[in-house]
Amino acid sequence: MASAAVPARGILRRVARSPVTKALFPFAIVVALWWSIAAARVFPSAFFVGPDVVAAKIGELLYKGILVGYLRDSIERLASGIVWGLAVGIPAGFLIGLSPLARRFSWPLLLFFQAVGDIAWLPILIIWFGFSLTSVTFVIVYTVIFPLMVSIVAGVDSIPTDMVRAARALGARRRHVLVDVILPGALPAVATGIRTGLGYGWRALIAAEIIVGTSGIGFMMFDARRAGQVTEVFVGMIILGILWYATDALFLAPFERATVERWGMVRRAGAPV
Amino acid sequence: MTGELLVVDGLKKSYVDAYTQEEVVAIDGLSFSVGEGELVAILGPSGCGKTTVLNIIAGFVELTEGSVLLRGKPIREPGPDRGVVFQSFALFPWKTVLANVAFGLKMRGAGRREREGIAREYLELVGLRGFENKYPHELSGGMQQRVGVARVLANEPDVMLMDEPFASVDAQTRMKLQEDLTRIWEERHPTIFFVTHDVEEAVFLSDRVIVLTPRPGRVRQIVDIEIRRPRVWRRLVDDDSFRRTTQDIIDLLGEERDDRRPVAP
Amino acid sequence: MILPGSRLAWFVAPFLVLVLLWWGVVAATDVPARIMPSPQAVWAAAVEQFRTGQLQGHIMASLRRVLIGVALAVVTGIPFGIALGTNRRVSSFFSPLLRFSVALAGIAWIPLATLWLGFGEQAVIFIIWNAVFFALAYNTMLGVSRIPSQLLRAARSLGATRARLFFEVFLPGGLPSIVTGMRVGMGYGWRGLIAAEIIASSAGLGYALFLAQKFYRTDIIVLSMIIIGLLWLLMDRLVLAPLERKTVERWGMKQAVR
Repeated sequence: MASAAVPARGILRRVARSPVTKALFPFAIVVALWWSIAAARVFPSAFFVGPDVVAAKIGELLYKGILVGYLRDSIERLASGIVWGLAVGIPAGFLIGLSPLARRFSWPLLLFFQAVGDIAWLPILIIWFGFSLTSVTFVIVYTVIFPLMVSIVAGVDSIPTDMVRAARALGARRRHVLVDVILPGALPAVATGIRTGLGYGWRALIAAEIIVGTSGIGFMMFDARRAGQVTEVFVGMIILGILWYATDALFLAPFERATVERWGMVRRAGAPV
Repeated sequence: MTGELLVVDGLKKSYVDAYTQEEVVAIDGLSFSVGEGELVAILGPSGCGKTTVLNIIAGFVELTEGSVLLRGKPIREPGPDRGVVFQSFALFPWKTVLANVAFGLKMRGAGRREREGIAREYLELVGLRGFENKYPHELSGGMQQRVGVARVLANEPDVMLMDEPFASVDAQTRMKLQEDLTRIWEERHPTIFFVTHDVEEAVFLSDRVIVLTPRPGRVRQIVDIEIRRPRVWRRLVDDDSFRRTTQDIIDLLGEERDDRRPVAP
Repeated sequence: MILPGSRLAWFVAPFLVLVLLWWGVVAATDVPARIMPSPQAVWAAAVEQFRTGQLQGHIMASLRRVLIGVALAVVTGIPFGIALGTNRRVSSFFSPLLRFSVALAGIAWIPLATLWLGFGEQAVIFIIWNAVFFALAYNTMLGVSRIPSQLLRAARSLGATRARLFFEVFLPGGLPSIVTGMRVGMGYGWRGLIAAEIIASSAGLGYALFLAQKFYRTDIIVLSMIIIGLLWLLMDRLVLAPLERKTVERWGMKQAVR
């Protein structure tokens, strides 16, 4: 009976049970599946490469600094778009939520412009701003603000009337009601809206880069496709997926959890993607 | 009637139904008054407009006709002079219990130390010492309502309006809260206007009960409660005076109700 | 959409104000048509495009692709989602994977799709299928996995075979989520359609945008944008949203997973 085996088993069990492992395990299976399909040469290698090839390419691109450069460009654009999107969307959302006139007037317009979608704006943006950061930022802002505003309006609506009345019966003036009741009350909705908006923004960024990009991950994928380099396309998609997953799991979900659960409010079922 | 704290005269409230576009009269001419330091209950079947009366006094809803005067001045908007305790508690979930109770004082511009000190006093009064740093969702319904009461009392309003405040808790807790409210009232004598549909609750708590008719609400009768204080449930359960008064009021309500009792199939 | 007169007026009024503003700004600033068209120019383009049949052609091409893509996604996604959702362990296992895929669905696949299928119809339909499939499968899976196991036990103890279970329990039970998944997926799909058509096609509304941009025909660009918006608005508000509302109202709680 080796005494070293027992503690090793315990550690192994703890690792197997940890939430990180549980989340990653399905991906591991998929990677294994992927590897076997590639190894079996089910598809020609011009169309399909295995995880080993992709990993090697990632290593190569990292080493050359290309990947880091593209990543930085993409993330910078995303950050710029998000910041502007929040700067426009949050005040607009509260304005529409709080002013019945603003809501009546802008709601039909909101519905329509959201229906047009960000992509359809790209051609005219190219005419106005060319293939520039402005075009990409516009697209990201455009995608982000609608779910954000809708979420905020819903959040404002969800604040119980009694709570607003309670504040007023305790002497709160309009300004105080806004700051002490409406803002905190709508905060979970803002968090959810940001989370949803960020997902949309990410997708908008990639779309914009694919269509009009001059650098960035989306551009890398499109350029690689042009050169027939399927490996880089795979690399791009993997990187995108990892980045999105990491951002959501490491930043957005905890933020939403912290605000909502701390105040004991009801969480929406499922998670926005 | 002059010199009374709260005077309601010929109060009428009607509105247009959103679906049928017809005019609905919720309240059809109410008159009563509440004196300083009194605990007055308003009682009636569901839909009789008693909550609407409270909402009008609180300033949440506008009256159609008549007048409501607090210290001789007409009501315009909600304000700290008329504190409200809600059936849904309406505590701010993002603030601690202490911050909730201190809210009104904060609105008045009191400094942090001062308002927290006062808030602690009132939390002690309602029996929640030690819970200052909890959040509302960590408290039971009964405890949350105690916070609601403390929050209003800490603001020292002219009148405390209570809208079926104990309807959302279980019977046991309710009786405890009723006793605690009476105790606080017998100690401090705030002016309380209490809306309820529970006859026993109204009789237990108040000096006077305003009994309303079903919609459109009118004053059926104002009943003076002569039961001795201090009032405790244990003693009153067998008290003849309590039983009689309660039965009288039930009869008052029942007279209207009998006409509308559904026929058994 | 049967709206009482005043509600319809309230809905349309902001657009009238917007068009008025648009007309005013263009007239006042005298901006060249290459940069910004006037409302009249857009209208004229609409009339012309309609007359030559190009408008209908593009709309039909886009709608046809959407129809095919969505049909394929429904036929593959719903059974797939149900299959995953029936077993609680399986669904919790695949959940992160599917969520990952939804995040990546649609446009991110365009380079790959055009690599595999080349430019043209197939690639566009693939993108639409892709976008709708993942959202639909994920939502279906969630909806089915949330069917109380007691219902399943009850059905089995009443003698339901696997096939009957599928049609009598899983499908209706998961229907609210399925419809939500449809709505979300189609939103992504419509967007993917436009992007795919811009990049990889020679017909359709996206292509019309692409071509118009090449020739600085801003009037056609704006016209196409308006049509894209109107079409989606009609599809979503007249068909999908009421459908979602009806199933949710009939069946209960809404699980919004987008």
